[in-house]
Amino acid sequence: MSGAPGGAVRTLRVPGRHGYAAEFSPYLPGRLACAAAQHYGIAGCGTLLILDQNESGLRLFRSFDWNDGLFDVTWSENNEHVLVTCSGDGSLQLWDTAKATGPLQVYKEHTQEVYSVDWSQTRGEQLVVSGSWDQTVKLWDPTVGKSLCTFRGHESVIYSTIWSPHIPGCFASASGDQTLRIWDVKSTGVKIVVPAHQAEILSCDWCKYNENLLVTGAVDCSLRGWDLRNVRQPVFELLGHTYAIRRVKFSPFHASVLASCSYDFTVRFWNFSKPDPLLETVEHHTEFTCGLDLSLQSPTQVADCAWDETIKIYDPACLTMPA
Amino acid sequence: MEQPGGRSCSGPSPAPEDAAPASVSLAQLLQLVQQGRELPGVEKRHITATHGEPTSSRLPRRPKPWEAAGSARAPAPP
Repeated sequence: MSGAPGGAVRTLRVPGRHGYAAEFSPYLPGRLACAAAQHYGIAGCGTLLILDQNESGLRLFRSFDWNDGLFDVTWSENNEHVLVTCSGDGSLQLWDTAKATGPLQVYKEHTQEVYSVDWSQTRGEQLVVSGSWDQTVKLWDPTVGKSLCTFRGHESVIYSTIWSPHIPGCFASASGDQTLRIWDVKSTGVKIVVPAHQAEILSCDWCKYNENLLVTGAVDCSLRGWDLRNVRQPVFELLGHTYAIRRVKFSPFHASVLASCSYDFTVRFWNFSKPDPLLETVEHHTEFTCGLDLSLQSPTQVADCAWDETIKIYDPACLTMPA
Repeated sequence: MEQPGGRSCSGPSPAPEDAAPASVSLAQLLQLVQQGRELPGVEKRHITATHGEPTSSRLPRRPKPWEAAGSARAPAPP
């Protein structure tokens, strides 16, 4: 991208590693974690990459290998050194960026690939939720070796599990069974089932400014907004991607802005409250773009990663220009 | 485009290693898996947990942008 006040795109190339997820640290501006796998995640090892930004670009601060591909990463909300990843071998790992080797702990219960991990966002809890191709969601306290609870109900692989930023103990899951489900840790049975698409749903996220609103991104190339008070029809539908949507994130700063990345190699930015909601399309990858995150400290900064072996941090024009 | 199904592939085979290119495309990899052949350059690891204690945290939790806003309106979107 050129012309944006935030400066040029900063790129780190990681040969032999295909990025699956990117997450900004909630503590350290400019620190990014990336979960990656060898061989597109089909076979071989995985690597957790910790990147720092400086004036000249992106630098690798530290990396940690794991025995199988890493598919997602989430930072601790109570310790700036700690993060959790999940892997193709069914396990979760707890890492400490201040130590040269790791992981500190390994949590092995899922019987198939774990595709999603998320650390709770609400102040009163320190919990992790994991979603697996074994069709279950598990709840973890990272200080405890065994899961606290297993949630059953999905009828196919689970791709995404995300905590509500507002409602303590509430999380959403997205699945190959074409449903978005809402759960509460106080009971193992599902609270709400939304038949959101007629295709696998690969990603979901909660609006940061409306506790009833979520978005799903699916293999049908569409993004749909859902109000939990009435899930019979979506409150918005965003079309434009030409292949499956791999990840969607609501903006931490703007109530109606969200970003999505896709197997069409692009990242798109949307404002669902506008008649023409597509704000910008960023086409700087040459392979499936799987990881995407929006900075919690800078309203303009975005990170992404793709199967072209690159991780990028940039400030898209649509976020830097005033309304 | 559908998700690739069934990640598991057969264990290392005794077949001689082919002179595979350093960077293999996804399509080539899937073909090798379907044929039950060993993938080139697979890096094996035997990593286990250290069971160490996390480094102590020294930074306070930062409020999220939506927490700072409280019940106030969010900034005007682009």
